[in-house]
Amino acid sequence: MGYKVLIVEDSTASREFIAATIEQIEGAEVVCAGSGFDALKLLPRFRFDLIITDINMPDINGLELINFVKMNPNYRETPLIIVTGEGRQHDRERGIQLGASEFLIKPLQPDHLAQLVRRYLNLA
Amino acid sequence: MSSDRARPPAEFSSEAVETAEALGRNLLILEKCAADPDPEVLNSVFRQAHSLKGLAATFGQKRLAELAHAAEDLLDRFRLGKARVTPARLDLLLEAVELFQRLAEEPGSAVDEAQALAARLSSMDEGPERMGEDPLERLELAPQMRRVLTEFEEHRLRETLRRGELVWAARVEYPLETFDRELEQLKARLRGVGELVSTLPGPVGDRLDVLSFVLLVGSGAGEPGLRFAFGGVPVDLRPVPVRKERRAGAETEGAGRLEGAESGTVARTLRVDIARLDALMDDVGELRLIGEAIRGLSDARELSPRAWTAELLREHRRLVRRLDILQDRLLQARMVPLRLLFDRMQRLVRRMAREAGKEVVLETSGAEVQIDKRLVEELSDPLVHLVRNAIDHGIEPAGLREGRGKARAGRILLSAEQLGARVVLALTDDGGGVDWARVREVAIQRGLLDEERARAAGDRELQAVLFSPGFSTASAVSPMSGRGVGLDVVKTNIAGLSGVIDVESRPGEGTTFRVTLPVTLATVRGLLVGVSGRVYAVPLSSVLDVLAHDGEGTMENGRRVLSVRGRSISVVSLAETFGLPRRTEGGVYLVVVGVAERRLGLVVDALHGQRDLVTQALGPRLGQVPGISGAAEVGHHHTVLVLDVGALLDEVLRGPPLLVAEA
Repeated sequence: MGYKVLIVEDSTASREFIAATIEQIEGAEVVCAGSGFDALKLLPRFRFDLIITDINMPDINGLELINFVKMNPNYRETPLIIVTGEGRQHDRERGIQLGASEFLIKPLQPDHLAQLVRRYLNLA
Repeated sequence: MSSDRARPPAEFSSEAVETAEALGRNLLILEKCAADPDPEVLNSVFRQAHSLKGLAATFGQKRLAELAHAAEDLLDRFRLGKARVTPARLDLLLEAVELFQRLAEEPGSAVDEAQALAARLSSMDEGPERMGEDPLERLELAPQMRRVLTEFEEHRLRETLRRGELVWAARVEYPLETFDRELEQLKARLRGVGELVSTLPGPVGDRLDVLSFVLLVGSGAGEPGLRFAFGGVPVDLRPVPVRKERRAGAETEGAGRLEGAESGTVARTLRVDIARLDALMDDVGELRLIGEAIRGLSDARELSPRAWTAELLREHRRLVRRLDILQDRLLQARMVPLRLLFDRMQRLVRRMAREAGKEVVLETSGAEVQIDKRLVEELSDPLVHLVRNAIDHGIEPAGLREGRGKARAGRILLSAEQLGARVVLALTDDGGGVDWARVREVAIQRGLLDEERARAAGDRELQAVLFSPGFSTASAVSPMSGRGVGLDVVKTNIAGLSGVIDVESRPGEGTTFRVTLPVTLATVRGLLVGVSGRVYAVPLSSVLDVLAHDGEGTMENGRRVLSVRGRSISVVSLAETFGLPRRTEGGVYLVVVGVAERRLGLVVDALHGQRDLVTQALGPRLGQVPGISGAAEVGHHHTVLVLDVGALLDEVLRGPPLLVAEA
């Protein structure tokens, strides 16, 4: 049984890129959500050890997802990492205030991403 | 993942090309509404440029990423209201779309062009436009709501407030399994009513199978309109309070904006001609005089009890007569032409057609027909729903229409016609029509009809299925070209207005929804008459005289004619007209009714006094009975049929409209 990472990102290629990077980490398993709604449906089905989410998504935004996770006693402890485009400082700051642990700015550096994921999964 | 970044994998190319195509399509939609850009379109073009940038950066496509970045910046400024959408800017963005496609298919091509275009796009940037005071500061949003808003959502709320509209907070709960479909449906129903700005999910205790949502909706429609959109789901709906502006003079500015804005709703206030108000004042003056006279009677000790009673009854008659006049004038003052509603539909059709990417023309007729103001308001939401149905599901895309030999642009006809005390509104589209075979199938699937009955079901029964809740809400996917979603709610709303709705549809040719309503919701006074033991109501407004009936009269041109107060008028026995057994030979009373110059004497057996009636149109089956306009409840669940005097006159006096002859 590996550690489960939920990736929430509506751009397919971007999602696949993050997934491929994390899948190379031994002991990490990936579950992908193509939208905030998908994420809401997946949350009760698995126990996630880490959530990585985009902010700008069509149904619910990443901030709302973070808020939901932090308000829910079942998921509250799961660490969250935000992925945003550059220049979106407003959204990034709000994400951190809401309880996200880290933010990453696109374009993503695979090494940096992998390192961060290892740290949060205690695989360093 | 391949570490070779020179040649991007096929998945990159295909997603980039697809995204660029979608971006191009949306830019063209944006061009059509450049003056008043649709926030949903603005947001999607921005998001498409944004994903393109992220995608390109992820796959090391530096040139494409830079160009997308420049486009994204400009689109972000559009979106946040910091830059205006101009033709020059749109041209550059469309140029960028073409380059995106080339760069995505063949990396390394058009490098210089991309760089130059990115520079031109960036030079299109301008300093922040002056926004004035931030209206969002006045919105008393709970902090936990405020802090999850993205910059774009904050901008949308600002725009709502600037338009003078309200921000509503709605709390709903949906099962985990279906919440996404429920929210999609809600969003569709909200179109034209309001804008769903933010969807904040929350837990319900520690349950995993239910989610709660706090929705922020910007809307100029009133609470009933919004509740309608929620389609019967229990919802805690309240407006988010807005603090008053402190600046002097700010209020007048705000008010001016409200007037001018396309507020999207039919106003709740009513303009009344001063002459009408003067007449109402006169009536009130008259009532005061009657009041004085009655007070005077209390002191009139010199009168005998008998004279005193007669005096009191005389004043009472005066009072009742004056109240009738007053009621009549108030009813008249409430009447407004349907034009208000029709104009609103024109704007909506333009917007909805644009959103659906279809060409639709709305034609109207009968905009001058007058109807009770309250009915206009209440009618607005169901009508919006029907119009949306016609555009989303009825009218086919232009290409398909051409293939079927129809004009590219779909046509919707909205017409109104007054028939006696009723108004008939018809909404006809020339789209694909209802697939009745499919309705039959779905009805069986949903257990609304068993197989045998479904096979035997005629049009009427299938219609009923179409309007039943089980049919509408059970399917998110459109069963027969989408019709059925929410029609039960429309029907309930129309019924609440004492109206009926029916549908007629021919596959391939289109659909007509017909709504029949009373002209006014207010009560109408009626004279209750007995005919062969049954009770009918005659609208008092058309009763001219009531007399004892004597003599058979003479026959002229096949009609029975009687001389009444020096005029000879046609006489008809209601028992005969309605095919009832005659109880009293010749009847006892003659009720003379008239519309305009036409007169008719109705022979009845009994008079049961006057009543205030709220008439209801009859269901489609009874709607065809000639001479009956509707039914009315007269207490204790007794229902009487209300005579349609206009139709009776037509029926009996067929031929020349005037048959009155001076005796």
